[in-house]
Amino acid sequence: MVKQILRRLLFAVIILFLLSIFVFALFYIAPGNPARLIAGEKASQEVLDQVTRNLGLDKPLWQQYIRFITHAFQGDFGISYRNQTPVTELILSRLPVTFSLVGGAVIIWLLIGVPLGVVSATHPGTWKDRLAQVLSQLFISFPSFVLGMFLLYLLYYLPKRNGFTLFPPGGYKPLEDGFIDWAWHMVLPWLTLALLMAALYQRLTRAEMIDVLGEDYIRTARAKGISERKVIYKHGLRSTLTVLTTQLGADIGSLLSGSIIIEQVFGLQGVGALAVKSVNTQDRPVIIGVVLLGGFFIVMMNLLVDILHVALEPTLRR
Amino acid sequence: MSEATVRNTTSTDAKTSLGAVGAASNKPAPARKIEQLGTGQATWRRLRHDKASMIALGFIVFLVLMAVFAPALAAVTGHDPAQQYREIGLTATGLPTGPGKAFWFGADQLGRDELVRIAYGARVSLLVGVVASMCGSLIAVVIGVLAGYFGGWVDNVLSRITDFVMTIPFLLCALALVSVFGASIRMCLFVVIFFSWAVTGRVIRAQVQVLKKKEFVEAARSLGASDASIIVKDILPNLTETIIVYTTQGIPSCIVFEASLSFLGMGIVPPTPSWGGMLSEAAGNSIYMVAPWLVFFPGLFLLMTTLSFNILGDGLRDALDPKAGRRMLAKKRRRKGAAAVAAVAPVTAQIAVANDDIAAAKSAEATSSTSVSSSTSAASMTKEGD
Repeated sequence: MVKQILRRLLFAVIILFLLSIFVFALFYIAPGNPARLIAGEKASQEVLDQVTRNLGLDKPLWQQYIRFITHAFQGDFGISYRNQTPVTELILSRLPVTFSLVGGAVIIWLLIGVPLGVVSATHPGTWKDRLAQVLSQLFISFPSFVLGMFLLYLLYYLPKRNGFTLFPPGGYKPLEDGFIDWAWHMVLPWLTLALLMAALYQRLTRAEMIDVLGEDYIRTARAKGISERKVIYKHGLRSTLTVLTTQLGADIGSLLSGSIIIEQVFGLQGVGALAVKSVNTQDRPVIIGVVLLGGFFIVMMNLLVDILHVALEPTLRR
Repeated sequence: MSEATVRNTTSTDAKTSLGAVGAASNKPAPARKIEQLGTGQATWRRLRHDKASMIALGFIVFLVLMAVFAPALAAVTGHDPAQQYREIGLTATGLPTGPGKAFWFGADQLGRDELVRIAYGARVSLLVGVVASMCGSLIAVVIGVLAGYFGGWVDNVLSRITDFVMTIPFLLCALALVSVFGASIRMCLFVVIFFSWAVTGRVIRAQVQVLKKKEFVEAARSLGASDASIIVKDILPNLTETIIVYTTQGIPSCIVFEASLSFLGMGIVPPTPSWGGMLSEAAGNSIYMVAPWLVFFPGLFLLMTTLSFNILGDGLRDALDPKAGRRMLAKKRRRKGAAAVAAVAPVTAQIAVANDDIAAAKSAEATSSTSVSSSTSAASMTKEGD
């Protein structure tokens, strides 16, 4: 088991290594001189040379890469071309926003999606199941920005035009300034992300539960006279945990990628918004930093899920 | 194809062939001609009975017509998609005019006709969705078949590549790619294809691993068939269902991917109309708060398109694999209890179920009796079923 996890860890490192080469190569072959970007359009050739030397851009590619990767291991991703702040600092300042968005939404989508899936699976073919299925099909198909804009219009603008403010249109209030204010500002972004994801979790839970409820051990549990509630939650739902944690790990892992659009719609200044901004301004160190951090999250969550599975599934422990 | 043909004769045509047999015993020359349905015909027959799929298909046909006849629509309304009608499209205060006689779906912030732009946007969405999904499936088939069939180091290398593509944060990497090479429809297609094949590739690899151990593959090999011949003649035909379903289900995700890129300003470059771009323009300066039709119509079309392809994909999956549908039905019947089982199960099972029911009725607790009877009937069903 330890060997398996070590193998996974090695694989995670290789993936991150490949990703760093991919991003690095991407920006090396990119047109446009980064030194020109920093020095400005009107800079003289001397200034340009100076900047190139400072950035180490005159050295061969592999030397640049070695320099980059050794610095990256120390948590140093270079300095933003645009506002001269260290990339690490820039990303760290944005992380609370993205974590707030995804953290809150995870709780809401689990609270909506999983119970609806259980209801569907225990009443297959009834109106409850049909309704849940139709809703989940609808929200699975909803593009996130369309749902976000619909919700903004319905829950922010319409009430406001009628003279009262139901929810703020977005923006971020730090958690330190008060829980209520923080949560109130996050309600609409949370709802948007959570509704989309809850639909997926409803489907997963339903499919998995229906399979499980047909198993022999469920029949045995029932035959023992255990209450139906206990059968469903203790034996049925327990075995869906493997599938749900896999999905949850993947979803939390891709939080940086997944929150870009929602942050854009609601004007949240998170890491996703930072990525979009730095793409628009060609701020390469920031993009490289964000992409690598995104990959790091995914790889780490996958690893965590693997370890969790060993804990959840006794059959894997050997 | 052996599996598929067997399935057709047993399931869908059971009634007609039975009727034909009956007729044959009465009359010397049967008047009814017995025809074997091809997989396509049989699938269509099953799909036709699925109302939701037919409505979805109807909308897709409508959308394709709209995209094809977008210039005609522009001629009928008299509005060019890129032309800005500032006199009639904008009010005196500079706000866009709402839906009405002149602009059926309203005008946008520059006074352009929203309906005509949606029709032209449908071209982009359908093109990117269908082409990207098909190319993605093609890559997935090549990689999945090679990895699954040959195994060994080929599998190792290809699987690691698949893992890699699945692990990288795709929207972030898409942004990075676009920032380097600039936004264009070709770049957009490339990005969508690059990130859309991995899941399908994995599914196909797993299926090929099962298929290559089947008897008919061994038979072909013992007859001296080459690897290429086995792959083309024996493996690929058995992957048809998977490829069709995954390509159909891949279309909506490709469409949303393109729309998301365009929404972030990194997909289709304006002034080419695309739904994501239109929504992005509507979101700018929050103009849609005063002109909600700018979000409502493109958003609705985008939603309806993804919804239709998703529903059609699910319907196709059920129609192509009727076994899965029957399995679900069996599960439903199991839970409905003894009465439903009796209707489908043979006599012996009926007796067994009846005995169980009697025994269950004798037990004191009402709640436990129902659960016992349903579980025992489930047991008898599984015995019968498998």
